[in-house]
Amino acid sequence: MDSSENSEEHYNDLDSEDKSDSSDFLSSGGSSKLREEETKKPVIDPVISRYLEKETTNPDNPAEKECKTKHQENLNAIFNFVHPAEKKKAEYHDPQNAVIEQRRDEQEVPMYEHDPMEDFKEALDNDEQRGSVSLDSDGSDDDHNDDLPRNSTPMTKEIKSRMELEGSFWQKHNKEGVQLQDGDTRDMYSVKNQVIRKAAVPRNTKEAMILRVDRKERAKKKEIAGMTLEQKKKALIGCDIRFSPKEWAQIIANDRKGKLYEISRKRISESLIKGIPDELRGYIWVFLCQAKVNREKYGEDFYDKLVSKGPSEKVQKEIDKDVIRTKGAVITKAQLESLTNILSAYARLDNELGYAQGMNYIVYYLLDTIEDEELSFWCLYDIMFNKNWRLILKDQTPKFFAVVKNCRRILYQEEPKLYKRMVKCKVPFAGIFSQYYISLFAYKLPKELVIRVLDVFLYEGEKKITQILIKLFKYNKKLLLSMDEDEVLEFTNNRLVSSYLDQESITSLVS
Amino acid sequence: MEKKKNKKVFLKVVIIGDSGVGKTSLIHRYTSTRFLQDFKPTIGAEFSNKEVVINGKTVVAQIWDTAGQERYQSLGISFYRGADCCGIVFDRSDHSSFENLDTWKNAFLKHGAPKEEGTFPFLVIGNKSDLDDGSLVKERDAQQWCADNGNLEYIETSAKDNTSVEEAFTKLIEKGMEREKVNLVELPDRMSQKNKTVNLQRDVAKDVNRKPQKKKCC
Repeated sequence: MDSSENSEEHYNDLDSEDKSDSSDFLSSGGSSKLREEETKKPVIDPVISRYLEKETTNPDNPAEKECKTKHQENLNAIFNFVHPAEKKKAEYHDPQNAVIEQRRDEQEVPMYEHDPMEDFKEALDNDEQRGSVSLDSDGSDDDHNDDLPRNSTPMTKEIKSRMELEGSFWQKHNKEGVQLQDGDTRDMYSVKNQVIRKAAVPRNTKEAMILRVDRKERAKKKEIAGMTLEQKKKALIGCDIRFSPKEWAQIIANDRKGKLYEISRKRISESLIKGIPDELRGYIWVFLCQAKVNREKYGEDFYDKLVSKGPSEKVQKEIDKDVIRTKGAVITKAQLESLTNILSAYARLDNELGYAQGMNYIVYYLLDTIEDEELSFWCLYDIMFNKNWRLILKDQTPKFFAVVKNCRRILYQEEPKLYKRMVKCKVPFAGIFSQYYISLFAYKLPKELVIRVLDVFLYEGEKKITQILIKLFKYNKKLLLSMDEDEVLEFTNNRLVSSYLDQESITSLVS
Repeated sequence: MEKKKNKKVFLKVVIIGDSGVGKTSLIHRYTSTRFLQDFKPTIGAEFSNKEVVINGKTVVAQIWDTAGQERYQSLGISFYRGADCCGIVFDRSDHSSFENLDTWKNAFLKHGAPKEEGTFPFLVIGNKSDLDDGSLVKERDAQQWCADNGNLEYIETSAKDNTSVEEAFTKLIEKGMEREKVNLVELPDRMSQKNKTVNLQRDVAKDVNRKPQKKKCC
């Protein structure tokens, strides 16, 4: 797969989606692609497929329903648009693509890699609604320069005339010998502007008109998918941009490399903050951690090998000691075994870290939610390596102290009075924060809170944990300021979270 | 009543030792007089308060429970500081935890940095005495280690059977109080906080000093 092809395909999809299937919220993959994927992968989890069959609108949520009917098109336009930077990011994370890009550089590059027609597409779509004349049926495109690729999209006369101008422009300047070098992948506009500057176009000529058209096009390009920023903001006001269960199911069914980076960040984080369906939580975690992608990267049997080899005896002893104590009576025998396997496999993979207390709690919740040993392991891998949690758990906990320092700084900046009070009471910040950072809230707190915190953490990482902690202090500010010294210590140690355990306050806590 | 409150003494007791030797169980047994079979591995540190009367004095013991894994010793810096006494726990059925006593003691002295390194009150606690299958760490060996390390006191306990748990903590607190005899930390009364005679005097003194200065200026 050529990456440039990808991007073109993407733009095509963008346009086609605007017109056609409005219920499909999925971004770049596009509806057609999704269907292809689904047919390719006949084995879809029954839970997911059930959600896929469900209706898009959630009858329980009238606000969502209203919103969707009202702003459907606007939202589609906004969220199906993938910023080129994000696209690049996705490519950056993909080593295979990088290789392909290298190869592409060696190959012969077509003269106009950037299809000039693409830039007219937005205008085309707008004009199309008014009534159209097909260019193909006209047959007049024979007159155009051969360099211009033919377009099958129907066009108005207006556009056709523009096209003719454009064509003649290129014809003329190509005759004058201004040509792109092989391998020149510059943007068409920059090249064209250079050409125009060289040619010193007089006013009120055909060329000048092209310039004007060019400016308009450029102005349009600045807008996002045909909407200005203000329009975009308007469309968003009072709108519920959460993913519906069906959309989640579609996303999960289409889980592949780079997919995570193609979906609107705002929509994902909003959905995670407001809560996701419990039944899909495990699948969503797997998607957020890119567990399947990681598994593919290392190979299917990699995990089994790790388990069979196991860590050193000393580490294994530590693990065995802690696994039994992790959840006491709640844990089943099968879970116990899986927990041991995951922890020992990880200790084998990461010799430097081995096993750290606190991991057992995290893995327990992963296992309990995902209900698949291997995928849970790859989620743990993602937390440890990509979210860099292994530095927090490592010997002498180097990152942890930096994190605590950061927390203190933020607290001092935002709540100086509270911070001074805490320092006066000799509250050991590192001590208080340690359980939250080391075990990701999974130690001693009820499940309802833990899974919600993990939801947002798995997507946004460390900063979310810091935010939540700062919020806890802000919420309890009045109480803390009115307490005695030893009460403050006791409160910060044991009861900081205890009063925020109903669903609403959890939502405000993780937002 | 106020006078009695005045005599309350605060002591910080820190309990350290290998992972899974029963630190949390011991503390739980002492503070809530119950034994829970399934304890979780402690993360970071927790503390609980217990008010006891020893030698006619009300003592509020702030007992700190710490994580046992070695990698988290560096976190100890924030817990060990300001401790009045320290209990090192080992599992009598686990010889490696006994062998690690050295490490724990040194780590405490290093991170806690108490003023008197040689005479800081430690108490060595051999827990899980109820698991008697002949392979326990022998009292003789433990006493020997204590004698070699600055005549520390040694006590054998069982959090499960509640054998000499109370005794151990009482000993710890007494030791802490002995150490604190020189500079007893007493709760300042609200009245005494308001009595700022010293400050007033200082203010007067400052005023006196200022006046002649002003005269000079004029």
